[in-house]
Amino acid sequence: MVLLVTSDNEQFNADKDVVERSVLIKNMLEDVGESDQPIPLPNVSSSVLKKVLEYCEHHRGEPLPSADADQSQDETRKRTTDISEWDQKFITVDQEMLFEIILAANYLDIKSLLDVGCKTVANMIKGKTPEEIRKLFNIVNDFTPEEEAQIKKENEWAEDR
Amino acid sequence: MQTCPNCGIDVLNIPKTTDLSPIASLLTTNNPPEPQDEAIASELIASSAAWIVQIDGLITQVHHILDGLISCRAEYEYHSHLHKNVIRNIRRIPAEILVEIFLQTIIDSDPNDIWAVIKVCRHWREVALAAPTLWSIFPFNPSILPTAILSCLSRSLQLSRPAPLNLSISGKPSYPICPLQFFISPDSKQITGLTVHDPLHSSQSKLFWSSNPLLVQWDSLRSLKLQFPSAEPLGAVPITVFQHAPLLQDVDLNFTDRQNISSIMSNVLLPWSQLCKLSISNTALDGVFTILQVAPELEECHIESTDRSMPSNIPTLSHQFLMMLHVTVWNTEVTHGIFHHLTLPSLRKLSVDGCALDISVICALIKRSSCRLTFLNLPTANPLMADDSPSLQHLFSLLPDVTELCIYISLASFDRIGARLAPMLLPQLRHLCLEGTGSSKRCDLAALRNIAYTNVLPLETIIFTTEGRPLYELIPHSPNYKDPQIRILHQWNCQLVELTRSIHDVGAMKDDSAFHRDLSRILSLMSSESETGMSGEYLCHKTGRGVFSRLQGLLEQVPESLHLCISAILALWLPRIQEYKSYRWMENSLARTTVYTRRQGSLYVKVRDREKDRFASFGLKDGHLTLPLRYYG
Repeated sequence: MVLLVTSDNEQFNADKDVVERSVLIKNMLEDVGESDQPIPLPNVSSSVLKKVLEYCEHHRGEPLPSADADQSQDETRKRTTDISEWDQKFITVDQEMLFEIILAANYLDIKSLLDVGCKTVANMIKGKTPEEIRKLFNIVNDFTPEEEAQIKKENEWAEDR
Repeated sequence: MQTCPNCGIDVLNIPKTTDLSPIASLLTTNNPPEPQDEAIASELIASSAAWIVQIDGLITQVHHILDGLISCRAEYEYHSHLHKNVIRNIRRIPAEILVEIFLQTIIDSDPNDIWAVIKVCRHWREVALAAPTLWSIFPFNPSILPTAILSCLSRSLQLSRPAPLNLSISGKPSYPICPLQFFISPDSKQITGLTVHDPLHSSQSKLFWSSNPLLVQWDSLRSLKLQFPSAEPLGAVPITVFQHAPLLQDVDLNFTDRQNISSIMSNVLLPWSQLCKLSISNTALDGVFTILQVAPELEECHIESTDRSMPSNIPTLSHQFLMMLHVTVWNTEVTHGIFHHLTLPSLRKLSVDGCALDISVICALIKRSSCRLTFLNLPTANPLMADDSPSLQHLFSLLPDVTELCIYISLASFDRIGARLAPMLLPQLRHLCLEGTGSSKRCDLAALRNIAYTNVLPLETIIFTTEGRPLYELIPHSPNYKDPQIRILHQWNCQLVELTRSIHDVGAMKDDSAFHRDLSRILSLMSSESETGMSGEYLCHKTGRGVFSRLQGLLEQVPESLHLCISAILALWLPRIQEYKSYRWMENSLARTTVYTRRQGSLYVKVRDREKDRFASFGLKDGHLTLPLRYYG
């Protein structure tokens, strides 16, 4: 078992083969060797770690992306744009939690979870206008009127879409 | 007037109306008033009117204050919202993750969504414009006006630099409206992949016309895909622009049905001699053989032909470098004809699909070529082949290096003939796919287990397909919800659920004698039934797993006598469960397959389409199994 400590000082015990889906934790465990020392995760809160461990537990035993995955990334990416049913249900959370999961997956280096998060956000963006995207993610339109005019001019051909 | 201590508003010290009337008795009768009473009434009416005026003024004042408060609240709410935005997690997403999100937005979707992304905010725009990969996937999309294509492509080319560009032209016949040479030069140098799908290839279209082929430089072009399924015959406008593509090695051509050789060779001017990979569909076989002759460097070739008879003028051909050959032909005579005419000494991977095939033709090809195959995919049916022991033995004897084999044969026949021969003749075999195993009578799981465990074959994967029939029809021991054992497990599960539901307080289980009596009765049934039956397949079925976990849950909640009884049942079941799990079989009902794998741990299969990768391993790799589309489409 491995003891993890979150940013809000909550402690989580988890199986080694579960937490080792995180490359960060795997490397840390390899560095410290056999030890009871808790692993601090200052960038992950307890609520998010709970979700991350749920994901790792579900995907326990599945093969991790191989080292040469990047080489054929484009090839595989095309084939895996879909999200499995379980992952879809798992990632159905409020927007703040979704981005927290993405940040945690990035920090903990869990490629498959990061992929699920990115695909979910991408699916939210698909087919929307810039204004709809801003509204969805509470993004401020910080273009100056001059910039707006310039962008419009650049993309006049696309305005008819 | 006095001031409200809470809100500071001046309020009136208003007397109650009931205290005001000296003629109160008249208010509840219909008697006519005396003159002095009438004067009092008039005076009270006048004073009430004065109060009303004052109160109205006060109400107006309060309304003003209320409106102000509502507006003030809304402002604070907006203020708070703006500040909440400041701490939203989306602002913390690093640029590289944003790029990944944007990339996912355009992959397998409308790549034009990227134009919306760059208009959202400054940060997104900067991140997107600085990521060339986002601009290297560019299709002509039907939703864009034809007149806008040039500016759109030009911008994409500008932004994608220096990333290699993958260009795909597809869609309506109304465009492309001008030759490639005009809108791609000089950026054609960075294009590594070009797909052109179904433009109106007619005399009006000048897409592939070039006044001088050297004007369009394809310095980086490695892969070219031209699909003209509904096009007019070639000839009107020759495809001349790809002659000078020094790196072009991979070409995929799909022309109108039965294009003749003169059309292809004289009108599609490609650097044939340097090609390493060729995929050619809907083309007459004489054309294919001619291309094989002029493409001596070919290492991989995919041929799909709809010819119904073998052309008489086909030459006998020996190709020295061809290592991978896939053939899909729908006519047996034509398929046999192709292999009779070929000698392929370097052949390592062979795949044949589309029609029944005589195994001896493949044997003759292998023998004539002296090639050492490592991959053989023969999924198409030949009923004669299945039980033909000598020819199967002959085939196996020619495959000492084969590591992946797909063959149409009944499971029983393979167990009887193949599994006996395979360890001797196929020492390298690691991945076996048995097609047609579910097409006839019921399969024998024992035969499958024999192949997997007892015949010394060091197999890593065995796949057998059931062609749409439920597995329980084919494998006697595959759990079926109609099986008596599943029904019994279901009953036990329901009884345990009902029993534990009746005890609301879990702690009370230890003291409830009625609960003990009922549980004891169920356990006794379980115990006697388990002695005789209830194999691992059923206990690993979801109903079985439910019963198992409920019993485990009860262990600590019941007195010792029942505890012992439950422990005895679990001890009886556990080895059966472990034994079943150790078989490492898994079923994928969607793909109608059963898979055996040496891999341990939880097994989760994702299926990929073999049509997209003809030489994909039959093995389970990274949780993926590659199967023909027909098994799960």
